[in-house]
Amino acid sequence: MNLNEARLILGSCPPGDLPVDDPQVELAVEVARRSPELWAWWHDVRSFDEAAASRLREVQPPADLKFTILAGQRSTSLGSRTRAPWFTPRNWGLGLAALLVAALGLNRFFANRPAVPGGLARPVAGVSTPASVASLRTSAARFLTDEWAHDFDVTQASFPKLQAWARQQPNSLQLAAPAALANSPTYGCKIFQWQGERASLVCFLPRDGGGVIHVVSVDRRALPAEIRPAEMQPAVAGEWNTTGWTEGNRVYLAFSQRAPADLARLAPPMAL
Amino acid sequence: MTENENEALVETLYAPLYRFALSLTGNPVEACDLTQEAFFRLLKHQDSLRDPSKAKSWLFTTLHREFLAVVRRSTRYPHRDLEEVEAELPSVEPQDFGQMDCAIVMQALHEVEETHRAPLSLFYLESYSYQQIAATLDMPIGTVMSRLSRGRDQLRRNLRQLMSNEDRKIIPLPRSA
Repeated sequence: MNLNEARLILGSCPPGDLPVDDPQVELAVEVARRSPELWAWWHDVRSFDEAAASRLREVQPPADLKFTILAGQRSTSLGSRTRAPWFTPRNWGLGLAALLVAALGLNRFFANRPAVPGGLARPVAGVSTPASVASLRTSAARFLTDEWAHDFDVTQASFPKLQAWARQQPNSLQLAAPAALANSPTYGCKIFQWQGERASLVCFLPRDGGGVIHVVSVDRRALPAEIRPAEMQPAVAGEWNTTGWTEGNRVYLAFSQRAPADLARLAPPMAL
Repeated sequence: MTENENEALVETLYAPLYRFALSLTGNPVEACDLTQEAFFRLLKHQDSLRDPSKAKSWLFTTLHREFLAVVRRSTRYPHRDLEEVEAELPSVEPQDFGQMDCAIVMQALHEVEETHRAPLSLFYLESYSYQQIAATLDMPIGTVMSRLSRGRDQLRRNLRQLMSNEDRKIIPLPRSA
């Protein structure tokens, strides 16, 4: 092995420990030991590589990239499940029987399950949670952090399809979205009860790659007659940045790990 | 792969993949897109990936291929012949890194000639050996070695250029008489 070959091999050793099982590297190190110039060059290159690698590994991905990837994968796997080739008419009978058993089981489970104070999943009778924007924000943030990925009523990739689904529900619900998000892909929707009024949660996956935005919407009647402007200002709830506004007879709260300025753009001009 | 295994894989690899994508594209939004695309493809092809221990190299290979496909489809990442634009600059020294922000180093890496960038990124970000880089990028070992060598030289010059640009941004206050 000549000096040039040794230089090329040593320069290709990655930052960190030297490879122990590479005879080419062992030989190149031996050659370098006999050449002070090559040894000094290698020392300089190793120092540079260690420093560059260390700095480059400090770069952090956006806070919610992982969340967005997992949401996209769940959406994809749910979508492909409905097109699975085994779900042919000859298996429908078996499928229906399984669904019936599952529905009976779920019914028993929910009938015996204690209500979660302030939770979003179902009406909570007799719970003395005062109706306020703050309590809605706290409950929604807790739900988004702990449960959302496993507890959506429907997963659909487009908002118009979610709207169509909501219209078909008993006591048809009109889903609305901020204009800035109306054309964004969606992950899914949950409809829940809040202070006796139906509310919705829609998860948007905007194409700008900046991260997921969840929008909670509830009828104005579910909240006190007077909402202080301070209650709708950008705030932090758990791991979420949030902001709120009213539009017509609906109150909206947006949740995201984006910058607060990004969320502030969702509110229409002059909204509270 | 089960859902839990898949989540664990995302947890472990999304950040390294993002850094690799960022080094290739130089753009955080496009880096997110490429990272998501790689995981999406893994989900789609998981049945054909028999050995889960190969998922990491599969993801890096797939992300790089997708990047090359995007380059072919668009002019978002124009090829620059650095030999033409390089100025003769002194090289950066290891001790200079103490003053540098990681974003500057990432930018310098991104400005390395495209053919040298991917091997160099795997080398620095993942400590891949030249054999692993050759396998991941489907490249002869000799080519990997020469690209690492030339890529490192370009990176040092880019860093010096960026540092001198940063220095020029500091405008001293006029001295009072």
